[in-house]
Amino acid sequence: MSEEQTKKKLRGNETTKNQITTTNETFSDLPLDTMLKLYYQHIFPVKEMYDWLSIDDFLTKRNYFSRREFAFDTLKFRRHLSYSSPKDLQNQLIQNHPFKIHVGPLYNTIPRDKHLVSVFTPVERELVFDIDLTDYDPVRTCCEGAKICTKCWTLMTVAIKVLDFILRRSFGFQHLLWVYSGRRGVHCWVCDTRARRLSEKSRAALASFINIEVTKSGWVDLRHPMNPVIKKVYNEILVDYFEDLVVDQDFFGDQDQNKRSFLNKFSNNVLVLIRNSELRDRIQQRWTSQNEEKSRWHILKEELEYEQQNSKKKSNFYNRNDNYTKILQVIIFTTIYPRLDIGVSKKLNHLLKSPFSVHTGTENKKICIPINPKECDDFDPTEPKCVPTLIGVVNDLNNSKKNQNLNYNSTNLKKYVDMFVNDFLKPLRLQLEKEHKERILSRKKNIMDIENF
Amino acid sequence: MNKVEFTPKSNSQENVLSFYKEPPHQDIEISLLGKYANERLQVLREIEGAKLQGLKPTSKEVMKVITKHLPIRSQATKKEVEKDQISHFILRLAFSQTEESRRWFLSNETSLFKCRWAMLSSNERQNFLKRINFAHKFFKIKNEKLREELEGFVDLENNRFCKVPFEDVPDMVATKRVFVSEGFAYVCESNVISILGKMFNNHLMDSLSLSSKFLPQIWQDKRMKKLLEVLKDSYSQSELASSYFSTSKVNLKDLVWLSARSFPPCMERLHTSLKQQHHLRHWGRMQYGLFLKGIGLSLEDSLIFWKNEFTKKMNTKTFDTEYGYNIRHNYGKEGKCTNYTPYSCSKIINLSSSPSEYHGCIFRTVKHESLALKLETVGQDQPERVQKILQLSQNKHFQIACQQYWLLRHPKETTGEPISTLTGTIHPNSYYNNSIEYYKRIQEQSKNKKNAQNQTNQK
Repeated sequence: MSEEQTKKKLRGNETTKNQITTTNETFSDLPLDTMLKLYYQHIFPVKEMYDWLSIDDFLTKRNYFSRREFAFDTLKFRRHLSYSSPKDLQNQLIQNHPFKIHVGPLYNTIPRDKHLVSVFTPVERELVFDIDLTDYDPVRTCCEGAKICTKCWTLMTVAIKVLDFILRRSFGFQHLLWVYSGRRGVHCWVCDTRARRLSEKSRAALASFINIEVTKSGWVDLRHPMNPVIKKVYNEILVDYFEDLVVDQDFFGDQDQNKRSFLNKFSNNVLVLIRNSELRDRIQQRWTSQNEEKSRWHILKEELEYEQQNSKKKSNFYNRNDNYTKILQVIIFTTIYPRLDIGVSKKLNHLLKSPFSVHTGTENKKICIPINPKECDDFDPTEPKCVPTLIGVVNDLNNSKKNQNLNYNSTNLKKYVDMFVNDFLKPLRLQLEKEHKERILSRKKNIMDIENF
Repeated sequence: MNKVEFTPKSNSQENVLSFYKEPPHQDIEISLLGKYANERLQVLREIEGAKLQGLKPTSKEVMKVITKHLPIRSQATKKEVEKDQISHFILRLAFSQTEESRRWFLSNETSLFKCRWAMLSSNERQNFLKRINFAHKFFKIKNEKLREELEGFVDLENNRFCKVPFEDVPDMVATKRVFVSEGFAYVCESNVISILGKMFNNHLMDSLSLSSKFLPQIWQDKRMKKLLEVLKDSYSQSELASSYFSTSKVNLKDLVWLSARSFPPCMERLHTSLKQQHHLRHWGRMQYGLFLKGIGLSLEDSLIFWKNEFTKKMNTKTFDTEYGYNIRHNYGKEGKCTNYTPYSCSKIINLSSSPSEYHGCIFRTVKHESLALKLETVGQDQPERVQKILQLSQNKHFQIACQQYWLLRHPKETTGEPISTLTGTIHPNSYYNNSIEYYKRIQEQSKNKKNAQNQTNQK
């Protein structure tokens, strides 16, 4: 379909239709398939995706792009798909108009030709993480399941901050792509060369390092002495965010209408963590007293800190087992530390939803856009205008001026494609160029060494 | 002359700890080769047994065995070095053939290495590091910022550290036992074994795949071929794999009550699921089908059995084309006609499964609550054993849990433990065989009792 034809189709009969408004309602009656086709033809940033997934094909002849696995969710689910060029990918997207696209690993050969080889195995893959708000259901009090709101989205913000911190500072990775997964979570793609080449064992080790297990009791298993990385995350990120979240999520059930408070949901409530029965009773009393103006969290902290000070003066045998800071730590880690699905990160052949894919599961059909980790405090997908939707961008296309090219630049998606290119793709490419130059230099050096030998 | 030739080259070492990078170069009598190999195998089995029990390989029992058969001393005799090297390399050849044997060998050799490291003195360790040209330098942490961060986590005063890429110490990273910064892990000198262990593991893994390529060449020598076969089959405390095949036949009609009485729990589950769903997916069919072959179900009966179940949900033609072939294949009647052996416990435990599948080891895959329910129904009168089994499952000692389960189901067992507590159940068919033996014994006992009673009555 040529651009002109598309425009005509969108606008319908010019004489009968008035100036079309920018409301979404106008095009919600276009069938999903048609919208997806339009999306893949004009809006989905196929060239930019190619630039990313082809890694250093622009420098070497390693055929990274053709060896990359894609999977399409259409009426059937098909994996081990591969393409030779961005045009090829785009044509197949239009033809099949999948409602979900997955990106898999790089294989040793072209996935489409896997039956022609004796060994078909993944060789490289970005390090990926998948965080989902439903994993926080044991602690969320405002929503549960697929439902999300501004209050619980903050938990995702914390997760992004923590993971970003650890991946960059501890593991030295620099090229992280954070993507909104379309409804209630985020994905992280670590695209450094070192990350792509990690073995499954290394990935499992890394994921286990970041992960903090939640035991059957519902409380996390914190190892002491605490690893300095985790400690830093606690002091620099978790402590502050907890102060906001403890109010938003009402973990301690200060508002007694909130029967779903974390405190109430747990069969072993918080006070079980405190073994000193005198202290426990004192806190319980203050919590139920009518005269207290302070919040329960505030009271808890106060009492524990007081006890901590006192225990330094008194003989230690009574309170030896109770380390009061540890109790606070357990509470904070259990409620707001990122909850990972480490299975996703361990395997090389795991398929993950593609950035700029459409989440067709919801009514709004949000697009999986990149998130800037430095500005993630301002990102709130529950805000109606925050995330571009399929209907919205198709609409934008329609409203674009006659002489403009039909592509993502005339839509709401432009800002996000630009972010993808400027904040992520360009630095990654620079790095790949640098690595390429270093390889050439070291090869030259090796040759010279041999010649001089 | 019963000798196997290696190309000559000298090989001297101060102590026995080695990465086994260079194969030995000397002549050796073939019977001695077999002897050395068996001794090392014994050590490796001992290590496996200790691990199954949850003991650290550095436990006293294991150390005793190591010292007896493969001692490690700073001035090891030439003979001891030779034995260590030769036995490793011959076993490496023997175990390079299948994925499972490689994994077994890799795991236990790495544990052996770590165990022997633990037996070295500080000087000997330094010498070893020098010998392998250990690339990383040890240093005391002087940087103020770093010292502040590590305060309370490590002992900065009395320890030196080395900086390695985090990929080199995955075990320490996974358990958060090491500080990681900018992609490097700061490993304390006393934990250098984590680095060495991973190096050893990596090297051996690569070597195993290389070794397998030499096998066809080596099989030319018939003596070697036989030796390697015997070694390969005899790992993991098992008798020769062929002994799992039951000599007696099993009838189709007996399967129902046999499954309820004598099958190991994993097979019982597969049987029940098959009856309920009238279908099993690939691994389920393999695991259960080969087990049935092992207990003595004939090919004809097997075809009838599977057809009977599957055709409740599909037509005969589909069954014949899609599943019939594979059943015949399992019995060695199709394709390359391999006589597949029933899966051992270690293989079954390592099978991956999804929630809608029923294969694998139930002590691993079934959720704790469901397992508890099942155990409580069959073991109403033995609550302590039930608890023990649940505990063992949680601690990942699946095979020992299964052995305890056998005892639960065969309560009148008096001859001791037909399945060893040290290793637990190692093969579903041995579970079954032991069960059959048990019931035979019970029958014998009651027969003898009756005879004795009749005799007294007659009197």
